[in-house]
Amino acid sequence: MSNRPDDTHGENKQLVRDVFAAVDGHEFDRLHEFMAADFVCHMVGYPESMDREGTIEFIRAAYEIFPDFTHELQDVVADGNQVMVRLMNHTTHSKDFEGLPPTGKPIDYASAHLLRIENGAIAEWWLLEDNFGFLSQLGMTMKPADEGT
Amino acid sequence: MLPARRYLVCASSLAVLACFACQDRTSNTEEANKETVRQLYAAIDAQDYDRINPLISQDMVMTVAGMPGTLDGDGAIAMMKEFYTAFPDLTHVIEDMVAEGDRVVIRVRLEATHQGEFMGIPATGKKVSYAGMQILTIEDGVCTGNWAIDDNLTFMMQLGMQLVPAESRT
Repeated sequence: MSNRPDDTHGENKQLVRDVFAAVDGHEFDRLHEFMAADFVCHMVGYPESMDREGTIEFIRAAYEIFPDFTHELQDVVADGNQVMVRLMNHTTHSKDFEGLPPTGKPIDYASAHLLRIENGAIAEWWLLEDNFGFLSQLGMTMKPADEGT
Repeated sequence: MLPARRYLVCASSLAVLACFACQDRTSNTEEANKETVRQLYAAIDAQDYDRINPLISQDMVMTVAGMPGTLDGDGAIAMMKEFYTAFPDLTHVIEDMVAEGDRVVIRVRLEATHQGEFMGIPATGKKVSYAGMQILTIEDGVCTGNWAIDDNLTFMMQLGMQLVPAESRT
């Protein structure tokens, strides 16, 4: 019984729960503990992937603008060395964001994360968010490019 | 003591066997569910409703991130048909698959050409290529649940839309 996939799945799920708890707890200085040295983050829709330091800096900067940001994990699925999380993100538009002055309104939007875990550390992180839902709650909309320009 | 011990040994080996059988059945189901999902998307991309219909339960509950409410099986198929009218060459490239119990997660790339009117935008001939993730619930070889999210912002920008402040915003 050296191969106990159920235990690995449980440990991997717990690691993922722990990293979201550390992020929401603003424990940015210990986030590197969860990530492998060659960690890579693919933010879907962004042209470049990010390394460990880049990702931690990104998270830190996001919490400067959205300090009450919380991740509500709604589904956690584990298979092999991968864990997928479906979650609802909650925050408030309380600070200026990309030139959009704060409205004080709550923002709630969905995202999906797929993580690969190697030797107890996150090696790869795919992140896909409802970017349109997020930006429309911040007061943006989409228009055909030839209109209003 | 001896018969009791023998009974215990026997019982524990039975438990181990049952455990293996259970794990086997679980992973077999998960592999079968992955295969169902592969077949479903092959049928969807082929727009072959003789193959699609038996794989989607009428009672399916479909949720699309960012859209209010849910769709049932007929609603999901109607939305699919509308989308394939505008993007007839849509292809789902499955890049990752994760299965546990009755759920299958896919990370996909959607590739298509805008050949018909969509959301009031006439055909542009533009090519789109964007990412999505889905959770499908498979029961007895049939899809009964689907939660979907896709990179809607990239999709709309590739169609030539641009992000602007809403007029209602003051």
